[in-house]
Amino acid sequence: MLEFLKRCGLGILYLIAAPFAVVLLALFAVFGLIVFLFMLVKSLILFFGGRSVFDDLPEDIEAKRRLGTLVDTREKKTEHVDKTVSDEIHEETHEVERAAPQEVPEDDSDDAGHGNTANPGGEA
Amino acid sequence: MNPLWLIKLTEEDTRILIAIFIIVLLVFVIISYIGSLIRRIMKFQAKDLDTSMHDLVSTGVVDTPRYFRRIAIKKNNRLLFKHMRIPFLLLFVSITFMVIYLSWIENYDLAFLWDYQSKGITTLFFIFDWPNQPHALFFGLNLPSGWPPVLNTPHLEWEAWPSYIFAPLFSVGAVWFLISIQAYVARTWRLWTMSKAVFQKDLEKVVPGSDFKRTDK
Repeated sequence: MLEFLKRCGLGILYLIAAPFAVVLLALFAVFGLIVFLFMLVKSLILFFGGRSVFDDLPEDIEAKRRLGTLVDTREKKTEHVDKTVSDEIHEETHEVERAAPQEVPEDDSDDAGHGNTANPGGEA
Repeated sequence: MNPLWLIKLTEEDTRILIAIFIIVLLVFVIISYIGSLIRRIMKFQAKDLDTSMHDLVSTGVVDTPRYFRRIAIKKNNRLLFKHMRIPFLLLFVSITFMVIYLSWIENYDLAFLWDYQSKGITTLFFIFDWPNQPHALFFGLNLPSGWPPVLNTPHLEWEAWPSYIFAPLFSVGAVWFLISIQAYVARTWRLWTMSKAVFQKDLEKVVPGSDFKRTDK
């Protein structure tokens, strides 16, 4: 029932707003037609100059350039992170291997290596 | 004494009032559904502007509301031009055709377009005689009780060929033109609201010091 009353209220509001909406649409229609004619002339001039009215704006070109840069930066950043992590793991494995013959028996060396690889921070 | 209390409603009057009340309510509900549908369509139409402005904002090329509006208005005008080319062409062709035809027959009265007997586009439609629709009393209410007499059944007339060319081209062009204008209004509204919303910062959502990382841990 409440929903029905809300609908009725909305209907009354739309009915009151309708004339204003029609006037707004008419004004925009006139303005839109003027804009269209202006764009038509502009497109004709640009056409004979070998260009198009739909060419990218300088801002679009700048955005595309930045998007390209951003993608590159992300790729480089990922590569950098991967390299750092793999270096750390590699270094720690070497440390374990160096320590292994003195303190740890040969059979347990693999387990120790895995443990450190899984926790590259080495805090545990 | 209040004169409103003195009004005596008969049973028929009450029925008529209730029927009118229900019809008015239903009309309001239908209008609200139509309005909601138009709003939904306009929201969908406004999304074109989001597509063309998204990259400019996300890359930081556009960084102020004023600059956003300037670029968005340019893009909005380009979209209008793109959408209105075909309807403009249809309207232009149909109006030019009609002007040439009218100057050929040397009669500038467009009333023939509604002539359902020989020359108008209405020869293709059913035409009913609504004023002479049969009515009957139903529980005291005078309601329509049948279809009105048919004045015209759809048929082709050789003399109406200019109407057959002009009317479809013009009506399709006009509707398409209005849809393009509606989309233009929707995008204009969107660009004005988004130019403020995109760059707005909300103090209620900020966590103090959240933009800095602690390095002493």
